[in-house]
Amino acid sequence: MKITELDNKRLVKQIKNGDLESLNYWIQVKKDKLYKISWSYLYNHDDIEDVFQNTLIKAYENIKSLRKWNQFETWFISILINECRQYLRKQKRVVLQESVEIYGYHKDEYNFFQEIDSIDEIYKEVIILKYVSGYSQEEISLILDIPLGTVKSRIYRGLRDLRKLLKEVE
Amino acid sequence: MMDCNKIQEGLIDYIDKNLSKDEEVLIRTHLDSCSECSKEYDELQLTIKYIEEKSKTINTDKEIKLNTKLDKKRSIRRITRTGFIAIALSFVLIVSAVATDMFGFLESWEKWSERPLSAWEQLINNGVGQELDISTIDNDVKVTVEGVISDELNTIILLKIEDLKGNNRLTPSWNFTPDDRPLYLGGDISNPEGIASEIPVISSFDQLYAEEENATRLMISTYPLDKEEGHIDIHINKMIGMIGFYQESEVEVEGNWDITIPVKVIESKTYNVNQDIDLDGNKLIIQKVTVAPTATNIQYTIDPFNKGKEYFINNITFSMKIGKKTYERSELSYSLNMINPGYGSSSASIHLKSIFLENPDEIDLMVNNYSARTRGFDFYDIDWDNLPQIIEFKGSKITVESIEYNEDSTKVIIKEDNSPDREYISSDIAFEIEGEKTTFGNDKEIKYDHTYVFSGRNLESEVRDSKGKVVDTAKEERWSDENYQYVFKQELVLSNIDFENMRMEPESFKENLKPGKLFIKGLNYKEFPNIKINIKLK
Repeated sequence: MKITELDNKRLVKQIKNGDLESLNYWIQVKKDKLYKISWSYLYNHDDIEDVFQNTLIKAYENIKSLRKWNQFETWFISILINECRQYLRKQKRVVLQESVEIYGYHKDEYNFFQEIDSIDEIYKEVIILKYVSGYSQEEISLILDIPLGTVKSRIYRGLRDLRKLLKEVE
Repeated sequence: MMDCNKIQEGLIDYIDKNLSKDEEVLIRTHLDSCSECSKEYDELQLTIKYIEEKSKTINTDKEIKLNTKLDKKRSIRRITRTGFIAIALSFVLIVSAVATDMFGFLESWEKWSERPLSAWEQLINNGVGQELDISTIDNDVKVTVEGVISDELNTIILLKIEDLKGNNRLTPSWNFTPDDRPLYLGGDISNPEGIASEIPVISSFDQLYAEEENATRLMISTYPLDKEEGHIDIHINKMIGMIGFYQESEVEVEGNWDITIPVKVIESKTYNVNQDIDLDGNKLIIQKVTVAPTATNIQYTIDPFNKGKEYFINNITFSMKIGKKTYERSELSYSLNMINPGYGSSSASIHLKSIFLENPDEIDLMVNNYSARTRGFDFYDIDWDNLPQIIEFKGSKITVESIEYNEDSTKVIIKEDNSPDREYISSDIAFEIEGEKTTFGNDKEIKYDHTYVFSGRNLESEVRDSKGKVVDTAKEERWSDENYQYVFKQELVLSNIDFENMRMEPESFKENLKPGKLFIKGLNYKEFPNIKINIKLK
């Protein structure tokens, strides 16, 4: 089944009824995008799984606060990002780097996120949403709850900062 | 004539094809005539391409198992918003605390806490740092500041938290948002990174083991003070029960625990060293050594590119020796110790154990090891019908062992030499597929050319130490600097699931399952140079 065939309205209703299996299904369908966002913060599969689990529960607990069912995806991602940030706070960077070595992730993957990490958080999040996960400016505006004009200027600023950083490395 | 600022602001929309025909023409005409804006445009495009390329290396094809059964514990927690109810419920949860201990959490926690606590005690017992006994009680929870050690590298505060009514090991929650923090610090703390003033002081805390069943110790570390003598305000507003590493019980206590402590900075000694080390052809300069109570900071610079080996050094670890005693990384202070791989000099620093009490006249500094990755990549034509095939990359032999064609996936096994004379520790190998990618933006389908990367995954590897001996990581207490992952078998997978996740065109799936050229991105090295230099401090 393709995601376009999935009825968001029914999904929201099912979550309200406590049927999290359908939410799990939705997550699995959207995994590629969701995973990349989480990876950009956590770089670690086990942590990502934990965060997905927390987000699933938070989505269920807060489903009543979702006003428009057709904004389910952007709403869900705003919870996911929040959970990633929270999770990150409990970790130390040093430990992170070590796990990159232990689990054999590719070094350049890690270095890339080091670069992205070096730009300001407010720019980092729009860049990840736009170019790592492929959301549109309008969707990002909904996810982060900021005006469209701000999304545009942050994307621009973020790209410039990142470019500057890459030039330094070159 | 439109001004360049306006044009540059519109570039993102221009790239996204978000503009009306007129606006688009306006920008295009301007770009044709203005070299500055067109350079800006090219750079934005390059940066976007870079990010998109890099993000493709994220392997999302990993199973995520989620528990969709709503567990009762979670729903209780939603009711227990107030500390009162939490405490009332706490007796129910003693069961879970005992249960976790069966898995040895307390034991490993105690062991883990021993290093920072004994380093702390050694300083305090020798009169370095301030021993304090300032406490406050709210909601039957007592918070006591036991001491503070403040120097030019860190400020470290030790707290004890006691549950006076119950038997919980309480801690400020590690699960918090920027707007809802359980712990705030204030007072005369410096802001070395120029963080905006509305952001609270950045600190980290570790829960340390205390013998009493109802107590936790908390080691808070933050930036140095901005003056020689001052005060720090500690505010805690919420605590939770701790039953494992990052595992909280249902106990939640809200309150206001406020303590202000006097802090005096202990003067550290910084020595300008400027000693050169020839690190296998790379010039490593030890610039400064700072001897402080919480750590010994070794500041160094290096040009990471090695001409002979054609690789970039990305990490170096050090240790010190005074007489026969070795000093490795500090137990009280963390340092990132990262080197930017690139041309030109890069500076970094590492925090080793404190030698403040020893106050030696000289130290022996050892360069234990460094990690590096080769520059440059290569593509290989493989005769897939005639495997195994051996290819050579930068003088190392890599065997393309076998290929397995399935209906919806293709697996290639890469085997690498595991003899003792292999020099590199792991290789970065991948398949690349050029294709068209479709995204949906503003209800429009957008197609563009794209390179998909499928990186190898480790199938067989070992953790080894400096002598090449295999390390059983399950038995080791912590990851040692000398350990590294030695990979000798990996698999490359092309699969329809990946293609679908990457939003490839379904018509191309069948074609893409046929492997193309093998892409070798680079080799990783770990070297143990065995260098020791003597540094005179006085």
